[in-house]
Amino acid sequence: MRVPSLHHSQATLQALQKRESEQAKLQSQIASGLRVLSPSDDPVAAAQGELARSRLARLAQDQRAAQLARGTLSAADGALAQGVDLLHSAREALVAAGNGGFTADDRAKLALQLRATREQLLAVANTPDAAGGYVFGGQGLATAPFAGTPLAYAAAAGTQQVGQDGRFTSTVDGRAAFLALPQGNGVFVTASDPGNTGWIGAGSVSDATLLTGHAYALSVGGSPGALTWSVVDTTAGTAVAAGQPWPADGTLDIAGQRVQVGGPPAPGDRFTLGPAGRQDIFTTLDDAVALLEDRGAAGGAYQERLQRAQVGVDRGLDAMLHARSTAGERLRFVEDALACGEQQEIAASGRRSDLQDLDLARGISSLQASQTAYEAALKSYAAIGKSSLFDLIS
Amino acid sequence: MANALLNIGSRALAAAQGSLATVSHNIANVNTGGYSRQQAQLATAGSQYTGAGFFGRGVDITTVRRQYDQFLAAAVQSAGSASAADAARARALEALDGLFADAELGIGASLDAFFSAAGDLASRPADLSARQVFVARADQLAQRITGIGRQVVALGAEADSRLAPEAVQVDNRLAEIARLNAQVVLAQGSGQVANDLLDQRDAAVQALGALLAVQVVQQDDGALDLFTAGGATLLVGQQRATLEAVPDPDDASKHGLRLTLGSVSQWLDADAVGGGSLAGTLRFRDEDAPAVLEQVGRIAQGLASAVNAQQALGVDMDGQPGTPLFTVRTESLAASATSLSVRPLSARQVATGYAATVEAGEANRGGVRASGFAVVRAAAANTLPVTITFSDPPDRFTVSGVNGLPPFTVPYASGQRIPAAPADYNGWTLTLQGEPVAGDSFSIGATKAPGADNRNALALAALADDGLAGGATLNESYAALLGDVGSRTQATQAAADVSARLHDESVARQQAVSGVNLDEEAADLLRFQQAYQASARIIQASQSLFESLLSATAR
Repeated sequence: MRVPSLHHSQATLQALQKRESEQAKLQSQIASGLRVLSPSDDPVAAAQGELARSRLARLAQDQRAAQLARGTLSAADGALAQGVDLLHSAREALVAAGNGGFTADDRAKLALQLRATREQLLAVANTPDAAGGYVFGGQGLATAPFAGTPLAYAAAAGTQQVGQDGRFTSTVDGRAAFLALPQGNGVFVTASDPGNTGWIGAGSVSDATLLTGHAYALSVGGSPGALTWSVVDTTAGTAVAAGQPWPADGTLDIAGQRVQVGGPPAPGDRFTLGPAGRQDIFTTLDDAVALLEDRGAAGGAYQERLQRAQVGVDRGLDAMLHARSTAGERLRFVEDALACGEQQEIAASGRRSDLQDLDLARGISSLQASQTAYEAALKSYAAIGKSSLFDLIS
Repeated sequence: MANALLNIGSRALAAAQGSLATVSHNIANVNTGGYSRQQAQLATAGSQYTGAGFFGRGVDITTVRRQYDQFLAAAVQSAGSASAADAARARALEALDGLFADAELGIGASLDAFFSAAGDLASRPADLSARQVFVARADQLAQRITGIGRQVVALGAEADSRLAPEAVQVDNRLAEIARLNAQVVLAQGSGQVANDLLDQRDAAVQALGALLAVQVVQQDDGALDLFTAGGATLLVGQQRATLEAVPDPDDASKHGLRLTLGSVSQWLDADAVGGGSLAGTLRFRDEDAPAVLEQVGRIAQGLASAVNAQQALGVDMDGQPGTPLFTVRTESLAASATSLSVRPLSARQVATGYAATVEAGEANRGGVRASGFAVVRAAAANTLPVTITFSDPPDRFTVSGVNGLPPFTVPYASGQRIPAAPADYNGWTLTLQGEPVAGDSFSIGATKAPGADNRNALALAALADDGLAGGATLNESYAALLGDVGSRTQATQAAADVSARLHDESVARQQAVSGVNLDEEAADLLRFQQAYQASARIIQASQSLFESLLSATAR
């Protein structure tokens, strides 16, 4: 085959230029550390890498929301622990107030203590979280949730959810923790007529299957020494028991509700039992303060009111412990999600790196191979270009 | 006889000299592009009959012929057109590819930043700075999308602006070929081949082929007739068509190629042009750039309509219905790609909350709870108070307060959407699940603190995972766009590489026949130099013969 001189040199030059541009490309890949510099380098890797990048951004956002939830839930846990401590101290004060040897002045001191406890508890209920909101903010509130006279919950009851699909809880329902507490023993409440001689305890459930949720009226009859009791279901308007002999220990079972009547009662005493309503812990404490400051309160009526205050505080403790365990569960969920999110971030960034990053060793060895080939081509071209028949003709 | 010898000698001298001149011409043109090696054709000058047989009369140069193969030249011509078309398209696509090179500066990263701001908004709805960031990120996203859209439009416009100068070049080439045609016909009237004119004309046709594909038909008189790939006449005899880039009557924003021959004109599209850089440029302008622009427009439209609809379902910090965040022109996807913008919303106007809220009854004793409360239709009735109360036994519940309806009873199943899709109560729906107890209730009423409510913000953030752009999420759609741009560019680059190689090979084959090799010329130079010297000897011999004769007869 004939080798035309002009075309030969042009073709060789073109090949050399191609090698040079190849080297420039390898050089920029090594400099940036990326195998895919523009989508055309590897369209599939570019598209998949873009999705991985987006996934990373989404994960980072979710982690941020989880961290926020962790912050507020931790704050909630601390606030609830403090609330439990406060209620325990209130409970102790109320137990101490039952001491028969206490004078009115002693009770007044306890009342002072309870007043302080109530203020502290209100501060706990209005605990701000670290990010400008409130721990007990319900479904969202920008101002203190417990405010006004009488005290009301300004937020909607419930919780606020954050993060992807709202899977993290970032507040605690303040209504359930502080306000909507069942009265009495949690199922029914007892009360006695003001003129009674005897008094009635807060009672307890003796047989849950017999509970009706109706209101009952208990009346004491007979004569001292031979007391009888009768009960009327005031909701249904039917008599439940009539003229039963009074038990020696004063314990009565009425439709699954066990109450203790002490005093002892006198004929004509009347008591009522009704389904438990709702009362907030602050009102309970206010009632207790009022009782302890009431210098006239004494005897059975005092005991009855004191016991009512005690069970009220117990219900507050129940609600707070329940709120605390719920917050703890949610915190654990958030912690798990954070750990899981970290794993996913590692996986996604690894995938992105696999797709787009340059294997540096391979890049450098390709560059060296290309350089060697380039130099060889240059030398051979120079050597062949030098020789010509014209040199030999003289 | 001595006379014959002198004749032969002088003929041989002339032949050697002619051959040397041809070789010198070859050497002189070793670096001339498009030059074909020439060779003086030698033939015996015939013979003279005598009684003793035929005596040769020496050598003659019959003609100077160029080494040329028309089929190889035609292959170079068509490969050149294909290569020029692919190269022009690949160059334009590489610029487009560059637009999408940096992932951190792409639409995808801006989408993520926007939805991330929506997530932060959901975490801190009452925080004015979070709302401000959300509006600012929306603005950045709109600018990024329109920025990319405008750059794609600019690349299309740049391709468009190439058409006019290239059309002028086509005209100039056609004029040049017509002139050379006339010269060739005139020069070849003598019966000899005008080698250098033919080379010049071939080069001009090749240059024309790099602009648009041409079909060449050789006429008997040596002239070339040229037609487009689609068969339209470019040059027949001295009748020459003109090509112009004139504003497209259908779309004033771009130019069309109009080929006019006499009073007849026709429009050429990429297929009619067939090859050459004009075809590559047209293909980029009419196929690649619009396809990419439409995908950008689909993202812009999907984003704007979904975000605006979600804004409308929510209420802002002051409890007012949300107003649209984006504006976009929707008459075409291409228009959307360049017209997305953000309305000047204040931070307070971001609709993070719903107008209504569901609250469980204070005295609920069962485990039933309400979830997934969502406003699906913005209406004034959204905030009307509604109560849901479970009956005794709690296998059904009563709904009261639904706009214009007396209380009605609905059977209860845990986890059911209330009401069943696609209906809604006063524009909202919710889901009840768990074990209810008779008397448990839920109340729906106006949201107490809309500024601190994050439920619509959560829905805004969740748009990131919705199929807003033809069933794909916005990010998936953008990733597909990247893949499309990448594979278009890659495929065109590969095609350009292949056609360039084919062109190189056809040139190599053609040059193997027509190119000048200096060693060959050196050898020829030597050969003809020797022939010249030997021919001179013939004359010397004839002279000595003559002198011998003179001396023999001198008395």
